[in-house]
Amino acid sequence: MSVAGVLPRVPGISSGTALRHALARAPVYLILGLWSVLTIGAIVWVVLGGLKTKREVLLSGWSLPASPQWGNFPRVLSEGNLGHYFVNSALTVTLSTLAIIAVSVPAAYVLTRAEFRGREALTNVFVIGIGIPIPLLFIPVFMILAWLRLADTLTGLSIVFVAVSLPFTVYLLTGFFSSLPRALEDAAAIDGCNSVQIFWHAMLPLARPGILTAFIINFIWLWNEYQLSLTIINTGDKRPIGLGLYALQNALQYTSDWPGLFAGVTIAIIPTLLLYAVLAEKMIAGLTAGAVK
Amino acid sequence: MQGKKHLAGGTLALALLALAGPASAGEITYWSLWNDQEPSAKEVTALAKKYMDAHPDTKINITFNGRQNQVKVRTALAGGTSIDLVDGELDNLAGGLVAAGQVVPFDDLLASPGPDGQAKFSDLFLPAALDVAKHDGVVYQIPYDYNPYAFYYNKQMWADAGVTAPPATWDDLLADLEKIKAAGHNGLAVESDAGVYNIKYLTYMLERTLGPDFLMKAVEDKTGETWKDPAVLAAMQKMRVLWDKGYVPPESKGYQWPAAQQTIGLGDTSAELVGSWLPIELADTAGPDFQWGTFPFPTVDGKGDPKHVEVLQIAFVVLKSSKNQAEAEDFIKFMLSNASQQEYSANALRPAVNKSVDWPKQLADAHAIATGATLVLSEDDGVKAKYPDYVANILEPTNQKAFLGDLTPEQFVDQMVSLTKNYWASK
Amino acid sequence: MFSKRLILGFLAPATFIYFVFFLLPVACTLYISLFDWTGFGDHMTFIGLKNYVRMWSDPVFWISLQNTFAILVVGGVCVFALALLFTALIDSGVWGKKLFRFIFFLPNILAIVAVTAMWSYIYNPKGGLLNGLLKGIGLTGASKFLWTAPEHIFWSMLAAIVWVNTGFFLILLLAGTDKVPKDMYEAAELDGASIFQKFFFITIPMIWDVLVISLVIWIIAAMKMFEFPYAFGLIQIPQQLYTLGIYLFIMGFGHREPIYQLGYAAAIGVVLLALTFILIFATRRLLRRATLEF
Repeated sequence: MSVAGVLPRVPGISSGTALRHALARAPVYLILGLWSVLTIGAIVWVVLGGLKTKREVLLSGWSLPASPQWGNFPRVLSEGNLGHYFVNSALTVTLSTLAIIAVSVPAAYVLTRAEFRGREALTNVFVIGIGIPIPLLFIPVFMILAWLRLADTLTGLSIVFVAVSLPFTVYLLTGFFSSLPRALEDAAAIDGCNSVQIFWHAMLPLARPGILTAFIINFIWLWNEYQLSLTIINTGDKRPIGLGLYALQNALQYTSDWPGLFAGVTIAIIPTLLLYAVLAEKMIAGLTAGAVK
Repeated sequence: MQGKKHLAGGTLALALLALAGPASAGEITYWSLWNDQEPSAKEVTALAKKYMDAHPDTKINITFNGRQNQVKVRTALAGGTSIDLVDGELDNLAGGLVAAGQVVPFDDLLASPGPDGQAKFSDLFLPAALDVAKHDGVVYQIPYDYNPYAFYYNKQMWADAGVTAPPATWDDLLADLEKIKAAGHNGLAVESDAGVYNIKYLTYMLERTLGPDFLMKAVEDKTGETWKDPAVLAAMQKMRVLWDKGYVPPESKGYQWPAAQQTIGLGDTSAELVGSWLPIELADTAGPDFQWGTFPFPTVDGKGDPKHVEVLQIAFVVLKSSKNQAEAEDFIKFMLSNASQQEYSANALRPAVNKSVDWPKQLADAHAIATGATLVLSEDDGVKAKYPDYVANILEPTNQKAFLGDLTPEQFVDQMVSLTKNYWASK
Repeated sequence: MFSKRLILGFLAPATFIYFVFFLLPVACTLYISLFDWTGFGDHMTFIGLKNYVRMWSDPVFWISLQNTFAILVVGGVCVFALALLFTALIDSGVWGKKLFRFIFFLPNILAIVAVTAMWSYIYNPKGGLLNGLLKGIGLTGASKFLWTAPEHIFWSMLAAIVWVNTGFFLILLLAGTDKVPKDMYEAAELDGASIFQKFFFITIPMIWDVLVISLVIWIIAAMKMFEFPYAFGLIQIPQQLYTLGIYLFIMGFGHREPIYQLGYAAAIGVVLLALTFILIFATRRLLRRATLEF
């Protein structure tokens, strides 16, 4: 028997059983609930911090601000130029993440399904890349980009984003792909589909959770990253939002502008929060509607 | 208040226009260590605009890179970017661009007439400020921002506790702290993770008791034996007294920056040995009524001169590869003029290096220290610029351990000796 | 089934970008590690393996290495224990699985500086949340504990690191468990299996591949650990928090001191890379198993 998807759960029969079921699970809910409180508390703390005055932030953590300093948000958007950086990031990070997927998925497919000499070695070459500390690449990467006249450009930055995310993404995807059943692909092959069709129709739908995971993870880390941006981007206008936050952090010793920093962080998490909320759902939806053969 | 500002602004603008020398053509690429949102960055931008208005043929492009500025410059230069003017912390530049021989000397510029009619440009600087900007006897940096390390304290709290005048000797300091303690307050704020601040206790102690050249000598002694000087042991023992007597509250060992300095702003602690940015940094927490006082590190056992001040300066350098050297130097002169520095100091709340310029009111005492200084010490008596890895890996961490009580003073000395020996052995 | 053209076409873009913009810079780094270079100007002095020799007798390098391994092993055990626990709990048919999944991942989207600022606040000995809580529930002795004193700060930071990373690895593991067919669980339930029996005998074997991938990702993240200690030591990173990534940065890029020894930093990077590679290789070898086909 080959099953390529999952069956929907059968709901509880009667409310009485459901209640007993819930009570038996009470300790589970307790543990999960406690941890949830901790994590939500973090977000609340940051958002509240953005609404306080400098003095309040350092005094009280979870207490509400005496009077919410809504002004912190527009201030940090204009003074810190975060609004502009936000747009830069939206473009650069989205395009880079899409490019990473577009480039890694076919590569991972071939590295797991095709048989050719040097396959194992090439996979390892990709995987080793994950272990390389990025600061060491700063000077050489900048020199290469400068030679290509791509230094201080968002295009150059995007290419570097892709290059640096490739090892992890290829590794993640080869792992996911190799654990997927070949049944559907074999069936499609028997049906006379060529390789590209097999890839598109049989492999991709199954691989969706892996691909979405890779997309989300890459988007989030690229959205928050600032080290490569600091090295490659010189012109203020071209900065991504990660650099905006870094500048706020950097200036803390001299401005004590914690509320500004937290307001900036709050603004920065909106897209990643939305992205995760939306895509996480799609990930699950894609599974429960999976093909059953 | 607004009207006054406009009047002042107008006057300054006129003054600046009057200063405008012959128009010089060119484009200055200026990379700065400030961050966009900092008041200093806004002031520098405003002053650059004034300069451009007065010199229509010159364009100044400023990029605010933050404290990683020199590292960014390094990468950019490797990639062939052309940069003319760079600013940074004086000791960092000394150990970076200056040591690498990438900047132009300023002796000629400093001998030329000053921007406000001084006979020599070098006349306008606070005493001894330029001495530390030298490398092999030649000046390579022009400072414009001057931050003395001293004790910054709550004048009201000290007065209320019965202290009439700031301490002149170390024993006076201990007595004053005792009074603060009796009044129910904490004496000194110490951050457990701020190695850069806590090292000042040691460097000042050694400078007072053994002179300004001792630290360099101790570091350069490849056998490490210089550390065995009994005054070193005495210094660390004295530093520990601050903890033993409770003038530094014991929970300070767990304070991560900025927790300790916040206690000053909130009225729990009375003082800190730190740079002049503290009053400005605490402005919001402390409130407008807080009265700041400053006194220099006192003499110890009758030794030392309180007119020797350790200072963190922010300075300009011009890159050797620059094609706009003359324009950059002209702009530097403009930035150091009375009008520019006055505006910079007042609007950005920074201590200016031009001796004719007033400092923000919270730093009035600190200004007196600066104008009366007879010797300006670069950070860690010059060791930081020359042996930065020694400072980062040996001096500061070992001092931290001893100061915070994880090593006895005897162990401190032993470790300094052995670590110094190892340092030189592995070179 | 796979034509040569297809293989080349599918591999070319990734491989090209990777080689030019990643491997080439890495080769440069290897080259730089044999020199004494500040990074300013072209003057590079060839010193061969001297950087590596110096590393061997550098006590700060060993401290960094020790810390890195502590994060890897102790941190890893905690992260995976928690992640597996939560995976088991969430998969056991609780209501709100989607919600929990969402909430647990949240710390990962926050900028790290905000996370470390929050933990600094939690650990503050006087006004902080942790000691405040302890005092509130009557443990006055414990409430005086100095969580971020030099002797404890590393472990306090590690706790925060575990907290942040648990959510991330939970998501990875959950993505894996979602592939497990539900009818297997139902068959087991009919046989009277408990939550943990189902977990150990069905889930873990079925997600073995994902587990190994997750472990490898953790190894890499732990070995490279840089962002978190950097943000945790805002004004200056105390030596107790040095990891290999941090030490590399400080020696090559200076932090508070103008230390510009790119050659030495590159050498540390090479050692870091080699150690990571050995660990990954060993992990994949030891935990290798035939892929489960079902």
